Amino acid sequence: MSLPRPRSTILTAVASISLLLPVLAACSSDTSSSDAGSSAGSTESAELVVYSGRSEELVGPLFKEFTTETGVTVNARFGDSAELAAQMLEEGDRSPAQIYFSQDAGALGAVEELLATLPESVTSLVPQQYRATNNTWTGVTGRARVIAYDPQSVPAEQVPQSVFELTDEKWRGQVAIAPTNASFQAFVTAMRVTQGDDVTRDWLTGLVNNDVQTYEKNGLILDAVDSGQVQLGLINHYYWYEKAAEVGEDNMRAEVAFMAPKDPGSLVNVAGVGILKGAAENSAAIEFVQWLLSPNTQEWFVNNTYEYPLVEDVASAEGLPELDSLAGPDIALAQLADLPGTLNMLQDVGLL
Amino acid sequence: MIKRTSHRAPPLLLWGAALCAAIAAIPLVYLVIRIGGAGAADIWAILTRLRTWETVATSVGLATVVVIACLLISYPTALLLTRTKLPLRRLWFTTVALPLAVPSYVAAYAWVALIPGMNGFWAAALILTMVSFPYVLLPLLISLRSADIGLEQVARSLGNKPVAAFFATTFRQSVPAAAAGSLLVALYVLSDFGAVALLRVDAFTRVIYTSYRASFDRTNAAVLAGMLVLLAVILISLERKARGRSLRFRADKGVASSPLPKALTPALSALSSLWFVAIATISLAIPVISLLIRLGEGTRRPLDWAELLGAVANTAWVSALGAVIAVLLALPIAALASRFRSRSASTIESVSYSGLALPGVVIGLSLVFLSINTVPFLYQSFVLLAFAYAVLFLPKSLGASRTALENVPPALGQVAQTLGYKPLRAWLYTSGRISWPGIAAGGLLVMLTAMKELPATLMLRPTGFDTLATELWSRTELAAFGAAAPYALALIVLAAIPSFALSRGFLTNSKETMVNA
Amino acid sequence: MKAISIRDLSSGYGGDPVIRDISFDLEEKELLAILGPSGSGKTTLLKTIAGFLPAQSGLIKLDSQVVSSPQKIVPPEKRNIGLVPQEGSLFPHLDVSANISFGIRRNPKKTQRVAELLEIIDMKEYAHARPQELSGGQQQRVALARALAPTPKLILLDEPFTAMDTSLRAQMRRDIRNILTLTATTAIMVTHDQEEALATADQLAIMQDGRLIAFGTPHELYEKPASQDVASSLGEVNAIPATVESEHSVNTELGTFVARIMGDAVLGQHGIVLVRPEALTIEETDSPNAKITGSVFHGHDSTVTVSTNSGMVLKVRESQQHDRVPGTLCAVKVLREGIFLK
Repeated sequence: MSLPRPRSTILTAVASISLLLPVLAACSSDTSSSDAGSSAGSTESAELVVYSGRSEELVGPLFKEFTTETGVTVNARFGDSAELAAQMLEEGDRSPAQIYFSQDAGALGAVEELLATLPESVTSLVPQQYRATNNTWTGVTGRARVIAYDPQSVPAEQVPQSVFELTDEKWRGQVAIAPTNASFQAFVTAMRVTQGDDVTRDWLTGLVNNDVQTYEKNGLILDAVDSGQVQLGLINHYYWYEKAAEVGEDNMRAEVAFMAPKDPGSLVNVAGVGILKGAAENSAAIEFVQWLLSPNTQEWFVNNTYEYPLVEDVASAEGLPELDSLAGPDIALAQLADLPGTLNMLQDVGLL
Repeated sequence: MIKRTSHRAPPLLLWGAALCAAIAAIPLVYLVIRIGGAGAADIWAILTRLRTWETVATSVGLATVVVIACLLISYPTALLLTRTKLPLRRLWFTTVALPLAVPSYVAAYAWVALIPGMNGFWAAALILTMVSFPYVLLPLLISLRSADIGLEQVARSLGNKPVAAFFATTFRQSVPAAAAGSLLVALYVLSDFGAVALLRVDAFTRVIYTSYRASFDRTNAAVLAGMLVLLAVILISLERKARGRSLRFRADKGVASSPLPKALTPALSALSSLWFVAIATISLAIPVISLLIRLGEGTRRPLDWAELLGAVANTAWVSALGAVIAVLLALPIAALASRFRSRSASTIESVSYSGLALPGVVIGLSLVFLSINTVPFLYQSFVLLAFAYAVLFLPKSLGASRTALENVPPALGQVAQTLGYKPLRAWLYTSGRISWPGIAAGGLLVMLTAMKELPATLMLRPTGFDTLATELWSRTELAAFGAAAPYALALIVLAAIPSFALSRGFLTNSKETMVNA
Repeated sequence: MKAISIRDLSSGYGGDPVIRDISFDLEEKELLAILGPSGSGKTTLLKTIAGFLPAQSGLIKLDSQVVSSPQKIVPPEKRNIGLVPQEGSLFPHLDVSANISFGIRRNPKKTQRVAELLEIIDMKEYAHARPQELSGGQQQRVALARALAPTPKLILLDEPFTAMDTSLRAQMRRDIRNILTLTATTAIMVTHDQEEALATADQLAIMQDGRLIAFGTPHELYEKPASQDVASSLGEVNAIPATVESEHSVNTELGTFVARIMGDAVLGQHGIVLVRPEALTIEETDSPNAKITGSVFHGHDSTVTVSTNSGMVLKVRESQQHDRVPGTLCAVKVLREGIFLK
């Protein structure tokens, strides 16, 4: 007995069209022009390959500005700072990347071995505490750790001034952190450096015992505070300003407060940039970094992302406390290199 | 009866299939290299950390709950669709695969946007169930549809009540289909990261991602990923056992008696319709509505239509190419597994499933490592990305192709040979031609899944090449949820096209389209 | 010229051979039936002849061209051997005409040939029907036409009537036989049905446990079986212990009667004599040598089972209806020549 014959017109049609599409696509020009390994050596290039951990939404327009001003095309690859770092490490010296623009210092530290020493013309623009000790990378903008709070439950006066208050009974289940997030980890490392491992471990354990709520990202913490899910959250300052610009300040329920200066909770971290070894002589690459640190660009950051400029003579956004006044714990960011130690501790206490 | 010969497989086919499986297992090579770089002490430290096992338990628990939930949803749904005169049956048939168009992270995001407090294990279980139950439902529909009612009638004549008769015969026959679908769901849940991260579930993938993202320690991460692979191997062998023991029947003689659809009482009709409406609402309507609301909330920058359409085109093309590569790679393996029952055949088949168990980040990094060291001119190219999709989703094509091919009697190919066709042509003109709908369905499934893929895409795409998933991601990074909504909606709409084709193809096809994905 | 010639053929699925030392010849236009129980190796033999199973040793020649030998094995698509599998196996995605023309697609005269074959199988009206629309018998006919289209040197039929209703079977047998004769095609048919084999074949081969235990015309093998196994393959047979009495007779429990003495048996030699049920008869008598134990009605005749005085069970075929009551004493007489074997 034979099989009934299959009739499947629509299925075949869609599948056949899908077969044609990639053929067309493959024939049409591939917009990507990245050529692995071609980053080496060229001193003059009309093109720059940038691996950016900062999102396209944010810095895309900025890169276009650079192109308009200098004529150098920016071939930007956007991704998560840490994943890009892992990718670059896998790529090794065959990486097509020439510039690495990272969301945080930790990721820069992880790829230090791939980065070239920055020239004097660049390093002279930024205070030492915002650069790598060996000058393989430099910060571009600063972000302060702040505490977001829900004014409907927590009046401004009652907002904790120090992170050590967060283990208090009255904040049980009401504090939000993002332990997988690089900024939080940097903050913990800073605490370890200034307060010592034991104090830090006790504090972390205290948080866990106090039913601390964990989220994946700062943005989600802010959302949670904004919708009243939790009363307090540790985030980076500019998230609030970003969201406010997006949805309108009047629609924001959450507020942010800065903690007392010198408290571990008021760490200033940086988004930073490095030039990969293969592009060390590349004038366009150096120009790019210098441009990021130019007053115009720094002002752009101030106005668009509400981050702190790191270059002298550029004013911070209105309403933000001065960078110097924050100071944060007395450490150079480069000291935040012991990330593995922090991770181990976070894993030990059960936050990771 | 499925005819498997005890002949030896022709060497060309065996080696061809082995080559394809080896290609599919490339990420495993990477894992082995990286794990090899880890010291024994490090590995021991990871394996003995309690936390690791806690998260493994959470992930396994989540996978178990989701699989059970999918089965509980799929069986009644399949029965209602195949055995009753359900009102609007055709409508429900065609929409049955649509939940596959919603990526897990979009569903999670949409639900969280609607119900801010939504999180935790059970929320994740609900959401993952609602986007993955079609993987079980579709093969089940096919199995029930092609079941021979004659067996049930025999059982009833032997004194069994209708329900008991059903369980003894048709239900038993549906086990392989349900098992295959459950395997896919389980692997999907184990490797998912987006949804569990958003819903704040302490899943095993989180540990792996943290390892990559935070510690840049690819060695440790590789060890953890290796654990996932072991878990997948266990699941695959469980599924094989469930598949192997059950008998599969096609109606051999005369006309196969299809079950007559039963009429439903008005009350039952209403209840059944309600069931379907509920499923459609939870899995489709609510996420879409939530996204529309966000869309309405407005954004800082107006929607760039050129960018959106560009992403749509990119997504369509690269996922289509990935589907083509996946189907081609899977075909020799499916041809081998459908006819020959040797140990090498089943090993080859199992090896090709490895891609499904691993999180996208592992696949991405493995291909970065391997391509940049072996074929650097392909690195970060359109073709490599499509290839990554093929490696990731090959098992979906494999299951569909294999089942379709199994249902073609080998005698057809032999007859063609006696009529002068060389073996390959004979196969193409008979088995290939007849199983084409099933093979195409598998390809559509791959395309659909590739559209939603994120982590490997981020790593392997050509610089400047954006898919809907990456655009969506870069906006949510910034908490620009309003701006993300149009991309999320576009993704659902685009992915709905192959989903719809899958359902339709299934509907117009008779028993032979086995989308046993 | 022999259509097919096989010498010392052995074949299997790897490891020990399933069939061994098969040798026979077949003339053109003849139909050979290969008869044997399941597991006797007949399908293996068929697959080896077709070329789907490589022979482990031995020779196959088609039309005096070697197609299989230790040195070379011609692939199936080059042997020009047609195949009609057990269940038709028509291509479901093609209609009847397309099925039939599948092997002659490049032939410029294919339309003509298809029409010719449709005429021969008497299915002209079904030229554009789909396989699903045909009955089992019709599908088999189309399958045969498909195999015949490229005018093969040999056609292989694998239990072609198994899937059919009994009432159809006889008719189908005749039809297929006629078609083969009409097209002057040499054919080898595999079957487990002895009636079918006896009715359709020009030559008959009997297989058991992978070996050919008999080869000859149906009459020859039926009348003069070389062994008890051969005899029982072709029908019921009674094996009665006997002693050679003279050059042409044997002595048994049922008396002395004529028998052909096979082999070089000497006087007084003990052995068995094979007697077909239709060669026995039941009589009323005063000196009974058996007792009736049962009877089975076949419509055209009956088989009566008797038990002799020594307890031996015999089967007797009677074409006339008698009321055979179990327990009745009777005498069983031998009507025709038996075959004595050592």
